[in-house]
Amino acid sequence: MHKELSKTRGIIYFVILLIFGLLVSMPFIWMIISSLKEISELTKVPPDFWPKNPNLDSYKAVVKIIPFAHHFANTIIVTVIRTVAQLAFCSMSAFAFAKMHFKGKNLVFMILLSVLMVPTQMILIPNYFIMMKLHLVDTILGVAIPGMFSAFGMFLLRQFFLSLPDEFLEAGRIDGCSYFGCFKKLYLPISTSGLVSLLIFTLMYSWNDYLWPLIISSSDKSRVLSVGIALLQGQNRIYYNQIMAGAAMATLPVILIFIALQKYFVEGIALTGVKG
Amino acid sequence: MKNKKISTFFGKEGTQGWLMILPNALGLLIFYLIPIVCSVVLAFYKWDGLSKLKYVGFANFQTLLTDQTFIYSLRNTLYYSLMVVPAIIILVLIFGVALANDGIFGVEKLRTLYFLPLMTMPVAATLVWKWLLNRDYGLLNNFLSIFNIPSVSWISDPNFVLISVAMIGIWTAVAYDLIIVISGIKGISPVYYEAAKIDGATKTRQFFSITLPLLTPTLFFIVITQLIGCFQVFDSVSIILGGDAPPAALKNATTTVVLSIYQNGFSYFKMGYASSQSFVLFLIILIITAAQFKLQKKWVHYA
Repeated sequence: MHKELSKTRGIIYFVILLIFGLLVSMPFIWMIISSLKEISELTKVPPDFWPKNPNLDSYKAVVKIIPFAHHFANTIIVTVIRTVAQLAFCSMSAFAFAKMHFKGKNLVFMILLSVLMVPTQMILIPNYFIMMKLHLVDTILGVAIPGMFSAFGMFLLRQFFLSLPDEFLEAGRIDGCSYFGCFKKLYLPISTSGLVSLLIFTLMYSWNDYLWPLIISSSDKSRVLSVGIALLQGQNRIYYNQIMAGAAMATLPVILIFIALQKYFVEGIALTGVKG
Repeated sequence: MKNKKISTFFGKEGTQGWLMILPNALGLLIFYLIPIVCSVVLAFYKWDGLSKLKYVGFANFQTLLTDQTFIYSLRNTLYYSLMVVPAIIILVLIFGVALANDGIFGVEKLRTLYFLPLMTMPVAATLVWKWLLNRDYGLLNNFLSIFNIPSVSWISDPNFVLISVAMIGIWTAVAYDLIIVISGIKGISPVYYEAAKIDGATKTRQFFSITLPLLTPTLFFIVITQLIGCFQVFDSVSIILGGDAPPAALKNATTTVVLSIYQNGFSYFKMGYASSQSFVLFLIILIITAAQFKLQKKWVHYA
């Protein structure tokens, strides 16, 4: 857009946007500040902005109140299973739909894509009983499984593969490469941006997912962080600095990854908006 | 496409193609497509999850019509959507235009501040907001008291609780759409603005005559996806009502459709009845989305 801002106006805009930006991120800032406060400071009216004596006591308390490390490990396992599975399954199917030609492909694609239009609540109850039949209720695999497959990811990567040239496949075939070999050796290496976008989407969805884990987990054995920190507020003798510490620990990993991969992330989201 | 020979079902290309599709297709079939069909069928049965299924015809749907909780949940979900979607559209337009301007010093870093809510787990975000909105010690009421505005029970007053949930919904959802709008604005060709400047159009005029019309496809996408998201709101509501057993008035003012489905299915074990609710939710979303695609001709400009 218009890039001919004068220096002073640029600075004025910067200050205004900074003030609003701080306002937008205030819940986040307040979460960190509150988590560093002592219990006695929480009930001060009006509240002090900075903690008088910043300390990590509330973090230590949360780790004891819920099996935080265990929930954390579960969340990482579930997220890794889902992310690896989605990247493998979605990219393979997306490639076949985008670059290969065979009968019945379009029909199957439309049927699979129809999943996108159905609200996820519809599948909760039947899936619960499928997991029961598979003896996967209250297991980490049970939490992870439905999220290992994705119509959205398949669609996203199909759009991405469509934008790559067909010529690699033709050349690869002439050299005697199988279709899967062409996909693996010729297309995947140039698909980093598409794959990283899907990786971030899966990661975020999986880390934040709440309703399905809430239903399928009944004990700490398979519980993930979202459910774990939600349980904090039902505890006796829990204080808000401790709840804030739990929320901060559940959020920070994703924030760090986001800051590291922000460029890909923004590109990925923009892609979903443009292609509709 | 080129005139390429389409290989048959199980030619070399076909066999390898099906094999590559198989894992995802099988997963989607077992854990999405079959459950969807089961859910529709289940809506016509009475079932507690343990005993034998009992066919009841349309009885579940008849119960829905007189179920006060479900009617409240529909009303709340509707009000919630009417607060969240317009607010998001206005916010992304204002901040989108400002943050798309690469001429602003340090705009890249500023954007990160606005994107932060996106990264916060909805459950964690709601817990934080519950603290911010605390009647006595919350930051918001203390801030408002500077202007002599009396304390509001944001979380426990039935008149305010849905507004609070909507605030949380806006905060958690707006960043995603902001990213889309910023990239949409940056995608508008500078030629338009140069021509407008030659014609002496003001910035306001440029916004309404160039930016806004060219953004309508993006806004259409946002309205569609946000409305679907709003109709499925669950996390924030369940956390707001969580903790101690909430009084009935508060529950009636907050319960949303998905919360009602969750409670019927997994607290009262009325699986058939919950399925009928989710079927109705599906139909509502389908009708609203279809209506929007019809209405888009009136306001969406495809360049």
